[in-house]
Amino acid sequence: MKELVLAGNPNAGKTTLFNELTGSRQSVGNWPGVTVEKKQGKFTYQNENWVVTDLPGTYSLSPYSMEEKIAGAYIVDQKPEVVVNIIDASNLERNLYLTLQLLELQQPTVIAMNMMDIVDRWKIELDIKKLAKKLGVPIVPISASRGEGLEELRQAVSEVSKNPSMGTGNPVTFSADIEGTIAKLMVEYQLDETEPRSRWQAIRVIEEDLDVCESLGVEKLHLYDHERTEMTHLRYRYIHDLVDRVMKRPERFETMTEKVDKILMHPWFGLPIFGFFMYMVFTLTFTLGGWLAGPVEALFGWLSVSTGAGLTQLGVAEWMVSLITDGVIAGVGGVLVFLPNIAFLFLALSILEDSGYMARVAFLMDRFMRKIGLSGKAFIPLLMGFGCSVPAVMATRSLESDRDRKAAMMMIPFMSCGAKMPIYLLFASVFFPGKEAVVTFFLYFLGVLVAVLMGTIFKDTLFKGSGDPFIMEMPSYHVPTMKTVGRSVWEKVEDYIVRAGTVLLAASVVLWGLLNFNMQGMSEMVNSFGAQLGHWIAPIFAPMGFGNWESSLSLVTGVMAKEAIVSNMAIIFGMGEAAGEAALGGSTAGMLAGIQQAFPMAAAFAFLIFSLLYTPCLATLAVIKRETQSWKWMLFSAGYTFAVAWIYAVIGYGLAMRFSVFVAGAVLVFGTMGLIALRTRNKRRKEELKWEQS
Amino acid sequence: MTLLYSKPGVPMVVDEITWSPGVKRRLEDMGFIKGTPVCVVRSDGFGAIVVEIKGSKLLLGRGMAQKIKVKQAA
Repeated sequence: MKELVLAGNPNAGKTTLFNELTGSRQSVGNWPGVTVEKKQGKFTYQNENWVVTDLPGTYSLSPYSMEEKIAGAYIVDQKPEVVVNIIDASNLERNLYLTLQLLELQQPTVIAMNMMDIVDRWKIELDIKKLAKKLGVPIVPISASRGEGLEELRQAVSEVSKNPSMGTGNPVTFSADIEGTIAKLMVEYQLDETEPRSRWQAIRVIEEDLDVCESLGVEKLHLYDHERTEMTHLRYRYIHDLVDRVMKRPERFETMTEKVDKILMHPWFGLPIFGFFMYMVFTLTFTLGGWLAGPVEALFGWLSVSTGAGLTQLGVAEWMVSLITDGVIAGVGGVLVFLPNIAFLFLALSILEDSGYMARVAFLMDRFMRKIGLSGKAFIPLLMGFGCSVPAVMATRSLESDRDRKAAMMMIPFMSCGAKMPIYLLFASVFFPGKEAVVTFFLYFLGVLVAVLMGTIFKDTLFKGSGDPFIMEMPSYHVPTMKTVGRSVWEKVEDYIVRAGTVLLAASVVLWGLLNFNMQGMSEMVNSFGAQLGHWIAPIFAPMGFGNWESSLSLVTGVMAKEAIVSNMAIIFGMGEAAGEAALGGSTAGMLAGIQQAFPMAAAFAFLIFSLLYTPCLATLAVIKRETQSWKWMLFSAGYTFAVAWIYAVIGYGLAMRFSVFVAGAVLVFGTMGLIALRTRNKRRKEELKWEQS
Repeated sequence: MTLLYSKPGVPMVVDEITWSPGVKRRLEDMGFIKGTPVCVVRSDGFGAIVVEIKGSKLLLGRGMAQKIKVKQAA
């Protein structure tokens, strides 16, 4: 099997090309020793089997971050047959910087020149043949989004693998000074001149790659700061001259992206437009997802009734029938009903991400994020938290400082995730019929406000000091491709289904057992283990108005996975007395009636707030542990969110009892806003002074 | 003068980066090298600024922009 390694800048179309090359034959893992995602896929070209490894998207191979180190080291150690460097032709100067560093590795390389359509549209003349000759590697024009040029790319890759000298390229010759230093280093550390990687190692010593330095036994650092700057300078100068020779640009004109940005990044309208987008995302998620939820629900209802009837007819024991219909089908089905909503939410988030809009959001939010000591870049993981906290926590890797990463990780759980949405939809449909979208939007909004408030508090307590250096490319907008968006949505949907089939299935069976047995054997639900357990913990929740054993038990299992809260409700209330005859098959009507009986309006309101804010699920806690390498932060995250949720829910319940749910909601929102304003007001003046002094 | 206070639309060149070696290297890799033309595209007086350098647009935080010294393009 031959190996192709895919390297390129972020936003150059790498993921799209990877998907186009490998189709559905993909696998995702981690790079050894580090938590950076490693994607591999396969394809066959003329009886040759290829495995494609997707390197992390980077602007350079200079070793600052995990991603960049991995990219360089992998190519040198693995010696893949071919390196494919994807370049955004409309952003040639920046993209060629990585290309030059790749050529320094002296591995067979093919360049895939992407986005030639944009270059044509901009009336830019690009002489690809000349560029290929100068760089000494084959260049294949492609359009990753339209799947064009792939056959030619595969052919070039195959040819280079058979004849590596075709693609070894012409690395930049640096100035005499630097070449002298490189030669000196190669002698000093006894590097074999005939081995291509030796030169790279010498360059790496100048660039201060700590791993290479260690392996060679370099002791003194910071010896070559001047040379390093000079090297960067020379590479860029080389690129400048090269681009001048192969590219003819027309007069500067306004691009489509610039026109769109005039609206989307407008000083006044930019933020309201972003708010409108988010509101649309949620409304669409409910209305479109809601339409599809109906048939799914009907399907499970039918499945439950017919399975129950069928099994009874076959003479299966009554308890077994109950386990399957009331436990498994009700529990798993209760969660899968919300699959369409969740799929729409992920669809919307993935379109926002792939279109290039996220960078604009980072810009718009920067001034607010600064108040909580973070940069606009940190807003992106927070926004992803609306989908699922697990990838959101992993996305904090794009932040360089440890302080910013931890601050963001501690805030993410308040961003209401997709798994919590079923709770809102279920309760809203019972207590606030017709106002589901408003109620849900309120909860999301409250979650954001609480996250911000915590940010302002952390800024002066746990995470003092200045934030990340904020630098980020603003890519051109492009229409996301069906394949890329589809794949990313499918990955999430698949994960949701797998969870429903494993974690939630197991939880449902355990819960069914807890609800049907006690020390004496099978029992009525009110005397079961589950009820006893629930009664036991209920006092904690009593001040919030829902000190009943049913909700206590649900919230405890909710830490396992948030979806479990709804599946528990479906099992408990599906079997409950209120359901009456309809209980066979855990019917929805029975469940809704049961919930309505168990919760007064104010308690339901408090339950929603508590569910929104309390301890994140086990998967999130596990990933926080992994990313921070610390139990302390994981436990802190679990504990403080519980405390915050408790305080908010108690206040919310009190106000809703005394006045109304509407008043309670308004007080919580405006109260939180007031606290945020208080915490940031006096800071501004101080900060301005600080800037002036620095 | 620093990039933070340069007027939008006025062509400048990078002069010096006054930051820790780590951040300096990152900026150099993104093209902020002495003598490179750079132009502020958007600066609102609060929040991040947008600059154009090496044919692409970058968002820079205020702290970052404060540490990049620039000169009027000749």
